[in-house]
Amino acid sequence: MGVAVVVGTQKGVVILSSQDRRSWETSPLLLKGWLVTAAARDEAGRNYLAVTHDVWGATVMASDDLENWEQLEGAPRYPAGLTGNESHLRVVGAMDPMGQFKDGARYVDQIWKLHAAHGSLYAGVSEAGLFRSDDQGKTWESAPGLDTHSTRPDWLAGFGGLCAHSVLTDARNRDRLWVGISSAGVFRSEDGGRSFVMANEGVDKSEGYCVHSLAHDPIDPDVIYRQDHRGVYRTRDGGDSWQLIENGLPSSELTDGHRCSFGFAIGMDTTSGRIFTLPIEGDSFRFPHGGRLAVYASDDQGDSWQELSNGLPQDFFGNVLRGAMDVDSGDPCGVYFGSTSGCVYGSHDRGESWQELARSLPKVLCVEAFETD
Amino acid sequence: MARVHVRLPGVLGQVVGGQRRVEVEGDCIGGALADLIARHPALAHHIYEEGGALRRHVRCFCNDEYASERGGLDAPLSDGDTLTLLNSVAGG
Repeated sequence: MGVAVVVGTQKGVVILSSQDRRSWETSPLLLKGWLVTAAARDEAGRNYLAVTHDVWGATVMASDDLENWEQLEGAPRYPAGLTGNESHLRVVGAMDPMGQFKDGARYVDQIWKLHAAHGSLYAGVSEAGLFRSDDQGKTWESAPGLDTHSTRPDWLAGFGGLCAHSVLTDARNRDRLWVGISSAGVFRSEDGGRSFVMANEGVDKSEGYCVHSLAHDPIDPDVIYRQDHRGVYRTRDGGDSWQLIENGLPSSELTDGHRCSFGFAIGMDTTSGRIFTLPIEGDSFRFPHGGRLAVYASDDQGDSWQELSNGLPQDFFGNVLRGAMDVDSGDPCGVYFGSTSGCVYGSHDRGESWQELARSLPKVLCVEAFETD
Repeated sequence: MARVHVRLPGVLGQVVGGQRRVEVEGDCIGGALADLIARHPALAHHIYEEGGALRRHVRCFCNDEYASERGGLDAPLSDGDTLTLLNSVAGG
């Protein structure tokens, strides 16, 4: 099976291509100067990249061949005049010496997630919200259920701002979807985004509901896996209740003394049901435990986990961000992840063995794997 | 109607197929930018805020002068003028 792994970085995007998932070719750095923060492919095979620039804004590029990218006509933008979330404005304002956010308005400053389903393209953004396009990106509408959620003024921004970074959809029901927001938690809609309920019962909320990423099989959507600031969780009822699933995962102490399996990325092989996570040594250090890079996998819905580190470096001090791991559709599946230190690793055999696919790239922000001819 | 050139920074050039210099027409700076957007609609998102003003950290120069010192978007243009769009830069 041919695969193209899209690696979005702080300074552009590279495409890693392989016909056998063992030997790889690396494209030149494309879209130089743009932060490439998310990628997706729709049902028609069109590819999308979310790009951001501090001055020129956040938008979406599209390509049919992964080489030639064209900006979409429209972009997710809040209408003028909406009030911004104070907590988010404090975070992004601190990183904005030019004062863009000091007027207190609500902006789309980054697109964190692109997700294609049911013929639509979804964008999870910061300041947190969900946009949907039904015309391949020409026009976008935000989900009113998040824009006007009664709890919105109390939402707390995480270290990266108040961002909607995870979007899940139910393959059986277009109106049913989930959004993960740091650090407001998981929200579920049953009416296509017109309204949302919070879905976090059972999750430790000492840091707010600081969900880091979500994974599920859209065919079996009530079972969702959650890498949270406060550990790894599973729900079997669509988010109504969550259980901690850390048997076999390494834990570490967070800054407040709480012990759990901290991390950012979580992924799923929808063919076999295997789940992958990449534990990080706590919120203070943000590198693999002891510098030993290891993915952990579960074949029993998270009841137990085993380490998969064959071929991974054991002196590694980068982080793997929430969007920077993906699983391809092969059987056996391939697994890919990139690091803040600019390395990309891949496995062609469900994580049983690993090889380095790239090094010395800019900071890796997102990784998505697409099947090719 | 004056025929002028607009110079784009490299990041924006990638949005218009790699062009760094675009010929446009306009009687004033605002008119020339409007013609630029008409020729390359994707640039509108990058140049203007949600309310229609120039993005806060976009700087526009006409020849060697800051546009605001020539009268802003209403400043008249002559054939051969060059508009330069730049992003503010901070850091060291």
